Amino acid sequence: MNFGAYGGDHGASQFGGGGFMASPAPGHGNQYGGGGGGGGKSKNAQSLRAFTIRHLLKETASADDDSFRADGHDIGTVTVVGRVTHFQEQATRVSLQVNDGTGSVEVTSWLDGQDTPGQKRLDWQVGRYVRVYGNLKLFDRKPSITGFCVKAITDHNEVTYHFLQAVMQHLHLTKGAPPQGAPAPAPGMGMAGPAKTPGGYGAPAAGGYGAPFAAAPAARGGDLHSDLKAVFNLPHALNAPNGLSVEQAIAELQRMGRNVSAAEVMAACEFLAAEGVVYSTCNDTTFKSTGS
Amino acid sequence: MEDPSPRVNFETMQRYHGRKVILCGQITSIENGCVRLQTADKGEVTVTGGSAPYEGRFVEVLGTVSSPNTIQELEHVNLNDNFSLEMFNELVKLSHKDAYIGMFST
Repeated sequence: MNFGAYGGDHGASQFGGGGFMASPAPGHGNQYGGGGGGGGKSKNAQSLRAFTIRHLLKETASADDDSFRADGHDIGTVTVVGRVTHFQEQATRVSLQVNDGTGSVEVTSWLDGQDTPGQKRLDWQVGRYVRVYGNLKLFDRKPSITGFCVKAITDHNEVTYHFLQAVMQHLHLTKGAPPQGAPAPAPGMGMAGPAKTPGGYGAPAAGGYGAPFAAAPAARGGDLHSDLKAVFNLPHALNAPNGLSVEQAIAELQRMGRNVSAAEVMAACEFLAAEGVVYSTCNDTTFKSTGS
Repeated sequence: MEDPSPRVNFETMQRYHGRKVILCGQITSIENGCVRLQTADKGEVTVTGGSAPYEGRFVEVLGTVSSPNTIQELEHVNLNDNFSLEMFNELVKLSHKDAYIGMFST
């Protein structure tokens, strides 16, 4: 299940392969925060951030015009997920009140005469969960979202996912990216299966951070793929010019307490290579992480 | 800003007596309009006062905590069978950590 694909690449999705590359520190440009300080507004307007409504309203409470900032970064496009608590359709626009349990915000969506694909007004019933993409605006000094896309949520895991994403983006912008190439041994962060413990931020359990691979289902062999990926992302494996041979990878896996056959590891390496996580170097049985 | 309705599990529900919360759980039985749920942290919660039908295995209940293991329902949302209670539980734990509670409540 790939929620990163909802509405295209909306950044910071370790599940969607959206190229969530670690930026060196807060304040540097990245996909959803724009550059802090003197960054050009036009660039910031391209960013997209997931918010809890409370966080959004809190951070923007002191704004007196339409230039909002949160976590020290300009806000461009925002996405919130919540239940529709009020719905009013007028000739040219629809107003919704959306409540996500943390707060409530008004969303105005202008109608252009026809429903666009994936966006059906019929789905915006009171009591249903929707995901809103839009821009934050002040109307009568009250913040509201001008939504350019409102979609009904059909899989409730997306609600959980949204809040986790909001926390992750907040952390990324306030504390900086986790170290690049951090091993990712935590299984189950993918949406497909039940989550184990996601672990603390920045801990080794950050889970497929920045990798295009995490959305792939754990096929046969359990979590061999993610373990193997972690092995190829070990510092010494990243630093070695040719990466690791399959034999070395097996040795690393054994050190992690996994006993797997060479054939299984070879198959897993080929799988990771097909996914773009690793590539073969000096020969067909030596692989190196693409560093993503 | 209006009062939040925090997402809770059995453990964190105890902090919100008399307040509105959002609880996700797995339906274990339905009798006489009382729905019994098991939460992700293995608590048993009885939901009273629901009017709309319950469907599927999982449900999200918005309601008021009326006793340590009872919620008076205001509304509920039926969830897909692939809903991950475990992940919801992780979110609940995260959203009650001091560092992030400001994003969710208070």
